[in-house]
Amino acid sequence: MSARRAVAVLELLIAASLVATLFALTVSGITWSRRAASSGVMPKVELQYQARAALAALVAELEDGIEVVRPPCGATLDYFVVRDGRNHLLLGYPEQTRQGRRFCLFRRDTSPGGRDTGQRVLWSRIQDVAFTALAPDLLQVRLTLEDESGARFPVLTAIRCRNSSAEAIP
Amino acid sequence: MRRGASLLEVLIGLSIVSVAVISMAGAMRQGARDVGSSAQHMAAAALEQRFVEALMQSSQGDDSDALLDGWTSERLLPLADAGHPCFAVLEDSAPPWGRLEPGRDRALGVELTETYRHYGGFAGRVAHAPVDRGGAVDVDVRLEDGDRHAFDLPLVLGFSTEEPPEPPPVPEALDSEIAAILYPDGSEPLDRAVRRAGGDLAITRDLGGVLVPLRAAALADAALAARAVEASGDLLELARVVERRAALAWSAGLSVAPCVGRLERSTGRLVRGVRVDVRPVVLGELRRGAALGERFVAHAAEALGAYRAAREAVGVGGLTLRVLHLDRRILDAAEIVALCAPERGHGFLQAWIAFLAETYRGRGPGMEAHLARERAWSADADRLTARHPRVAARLAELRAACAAMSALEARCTRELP
Repeated sequence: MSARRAVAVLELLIAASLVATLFALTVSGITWSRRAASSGVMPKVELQYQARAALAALVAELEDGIEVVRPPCGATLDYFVVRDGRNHLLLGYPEQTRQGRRFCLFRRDTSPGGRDTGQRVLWSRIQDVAFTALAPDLLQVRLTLEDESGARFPVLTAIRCRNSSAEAIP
Repeated sequence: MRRGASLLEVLIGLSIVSVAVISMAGAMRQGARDVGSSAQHMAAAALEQRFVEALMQSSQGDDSDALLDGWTSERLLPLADAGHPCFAVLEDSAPPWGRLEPGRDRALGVELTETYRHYGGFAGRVAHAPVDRGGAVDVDVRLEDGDRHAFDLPLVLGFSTEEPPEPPPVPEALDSEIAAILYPDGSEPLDRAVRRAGGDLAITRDLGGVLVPLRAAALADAALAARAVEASGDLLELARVVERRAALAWSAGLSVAPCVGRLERSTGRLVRGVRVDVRPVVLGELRRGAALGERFVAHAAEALGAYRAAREAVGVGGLTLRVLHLDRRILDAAEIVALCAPERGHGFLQAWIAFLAETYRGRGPGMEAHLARERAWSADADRLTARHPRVAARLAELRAACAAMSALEARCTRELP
């Protein structure tokens, strides 16, 4: 006959409760991580990344300009028109699509025989767009970016047309 | 015989797995916090950009002391609900349309739901190092979010002092040029001609140092006068040409000042042995030189009139960049005229500032702040002088040089053959 002793009920209960506690902790950790990954953190990271990239693109386009043509000084509109040194006009405007509103850029060449560039989508989902001309060469940008999951990232900044001195009276 | 895992082994294994999973969950939780912090950092960077642009907009052409006095604060001011001057008004949301009016138009308030939630918790403060009047100042923009995370942006702001540039150093009049004016018939070098006539070479060179630049300036001015006639149909071009005539008078008067000063102090006879017919030439140049101060003021006033006419032709419609530059130029010219001839220019300067204040009300916070300071500075002639100390000092120098040239003309009348 074996010398091995059986497990006492109390020992079994203690062991079972320890196992249950550890299991519960593990499961809750995994559940929280999955929820965070699927519904919160990753979309925010993605949205921030998109916001940074799109804002950098907008800054690069606007900085090239000389003057904010629309909105006029002191006014707020949901679109802008900026003139650059070659007399091209850069238009930025929201466009309604079936998926929602998106923000587009369009460059119009006003010189005789000039060719327009095609429409370029800068942000695919936006809400609440407002451009305010704080000076003839300074545009305040306020808009809210959105992604498919409904996460939002608002942007509030000001961008100056760096070539405005080209219009200065010599 | 194969033995099953003991309860102790199962417990140890499960503990290891739990520790690993919990650590991973903790890391992810920290990652989530970092994402939130990164979002705040990006928001702070965007806000700082707006701060800096507004600060630069407001700084155009102003003295750094006055500018920063209006912006700096001891404590952090909330950006929301118009708590900070930089965010007093955000958007044009109420009539009269096309003007941003604090209290009437939209500030960073709750109605901007998402923007308010994200940016409304920020507070900002602008601080600066002791102001260096050399045209640049260290500025620190600090933002804190609702969780008291601080974001600092140190920057150096340059300020235009609106002082005219120093006139370029005039090359010393060449002896041959001096000889061509004073001894036009001789082929001798100047030093020999002076020695033969028994004159003083140093005094002769100083007189040449006055006559040669004056003659060059007179020739350049004649060319500009011809261009002004050609440009009479184009008001802006006319204004630019007349302004250059004013600048020419200014720099010519200042450039001859050192030689005039030395001649004023010298006791020797001016020149000897010059031909009789040279005398009217010399006296004519000195007479023109003595009038440089008046010519400067007259041309500046004429340029101001042409700029005003060009501005009136544009009308009071859209405030384009060109109009803004034109308005600033008129303001600068009006200040100079008011400084040089208060009786002629001070009234116009004040009227022009009042006109601009109404035109730019709510249409450019930077220009508004600039005009508010201009209004204070132009309240009387003394303050205007204090605002432009270098211009005032140079103006006094120009006037002294003109008076000295007038005295020199009288001396030449006595001493030249």
